[in-house]
Amino acid sequence: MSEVIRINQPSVIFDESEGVIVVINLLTGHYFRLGEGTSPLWDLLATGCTFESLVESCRNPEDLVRDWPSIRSELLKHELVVLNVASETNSDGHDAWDYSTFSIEPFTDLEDILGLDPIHEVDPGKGWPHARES
Amino acid sequence: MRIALCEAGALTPEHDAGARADSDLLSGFASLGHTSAVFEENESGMVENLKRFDPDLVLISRPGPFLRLYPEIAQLEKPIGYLAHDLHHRRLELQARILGQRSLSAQVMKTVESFCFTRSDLAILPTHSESIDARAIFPGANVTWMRYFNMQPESMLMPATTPDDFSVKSGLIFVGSSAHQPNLDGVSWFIHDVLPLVQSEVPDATLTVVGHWQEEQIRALTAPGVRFTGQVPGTELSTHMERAAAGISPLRFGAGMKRKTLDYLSRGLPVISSSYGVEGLSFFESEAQSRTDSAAGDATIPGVIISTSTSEWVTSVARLLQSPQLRVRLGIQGRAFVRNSFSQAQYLEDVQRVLAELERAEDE
Repeated sequence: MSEVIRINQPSVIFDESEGVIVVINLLTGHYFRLGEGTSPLWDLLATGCTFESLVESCRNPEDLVRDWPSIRSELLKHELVVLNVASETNSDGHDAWDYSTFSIEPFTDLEDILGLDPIHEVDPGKGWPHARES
Repeated sequence: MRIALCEAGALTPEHDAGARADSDLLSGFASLGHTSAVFEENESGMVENLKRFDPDLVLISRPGPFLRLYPEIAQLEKPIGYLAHDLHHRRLELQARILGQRSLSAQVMKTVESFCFTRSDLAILPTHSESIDARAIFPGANVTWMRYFNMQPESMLMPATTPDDFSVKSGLIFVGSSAHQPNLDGVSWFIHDVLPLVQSEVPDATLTVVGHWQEEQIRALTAPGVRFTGQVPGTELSTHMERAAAGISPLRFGAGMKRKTLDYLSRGLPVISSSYGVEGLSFFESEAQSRTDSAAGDATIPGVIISTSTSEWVTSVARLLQSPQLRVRLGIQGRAFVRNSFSQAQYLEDVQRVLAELERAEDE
């Protein structure tokens, strides 16, 4: 059985602007910059797909096959994607696409950005998210 | 109705404008007969306490708390409102442009705000214009606006300004802490680029900065005629306001409605401001004009001289400091504007309307 790889939603949220994709993992509080050229692949991951279907629809599959182990590894390491066994998921019939490159840059200063306006400061000792005592 | 207001920490209205807006809201709920409670994110057992409170509605203030708290609070299956305070990502975009920064901050904040606006049942902004923009930026978001400013009763009771008052008033005042980047940038710019030129025309021109600023920032901004008071209690703030000849809002970037501008105006102080310092206020002036059948058109803000370039700022400040008559006229106009557009009755109407919208939003 093939594995379906898809973005780890709803725990992962993202936004694209001028070719740059920012991805936030709400579970870890880390965010990531995906380099220019990553957009077509990220869009396909948003719908969920198998590696085979990615290769099949890719116009330059050799480059994708070469880079895929590290792409898969990086995305899993940062918990940005999840794997499922292929079933009736939308894993086939992608439009043809060009793979150019994949780069991911992690950042850990989300709290600093959120603190740029909200003047309240959350206790930094409690980490992300807060370990609440119930 | 039982309303829960979630914040990152204890409300500190003396520290920041957002907390003052929250405090206004709580007093508004009380005036309308609702029961409300504040839940602080950094308190242990916060969500359990929230459940015990059994709210009819939950409001989460600011993007950080919303992002962190939403997953748990959504499980309560109560209507959730997002108190946005402003479009934060837009302010960060402007900041990056003005300061020549290359940073992902604005895009990261936009991603966060997209989450907040689209997941909440209703997002609430302080200006009409931002609510329109937010609907376009975040498709599918249910967005409304309300006044984030409830004119304080003590301001209403203050006597009308008279020319004699102004003969003893002197100097400029800025109210705000350096923790807010637009304040730090704007005051630094004003002290370095504007004030020395003003003092060449008006040698005794002074600036009093009220609010928390760090020691090293104060050292870097030490200049003739400039005084930092630090954070002061409300009564002392009133004294500083009463002694000042004019308030300034020299913000070179920003978003949302600026309480400091309304604070100055409500106390009868004329204001010199950038366009960012009066953002969103033209809607209220247009609304007031339509109520009185005055001429419509591009609304200026009563009581405010809007200045853009350094030379405009120098001219406006010098002119205002040298003309008690102009200060009186603008002070009276500005105070009337706040009285007419930010009365308690109007504030409570907004609160009631927003609560009804939030209740309705959950049903839809």
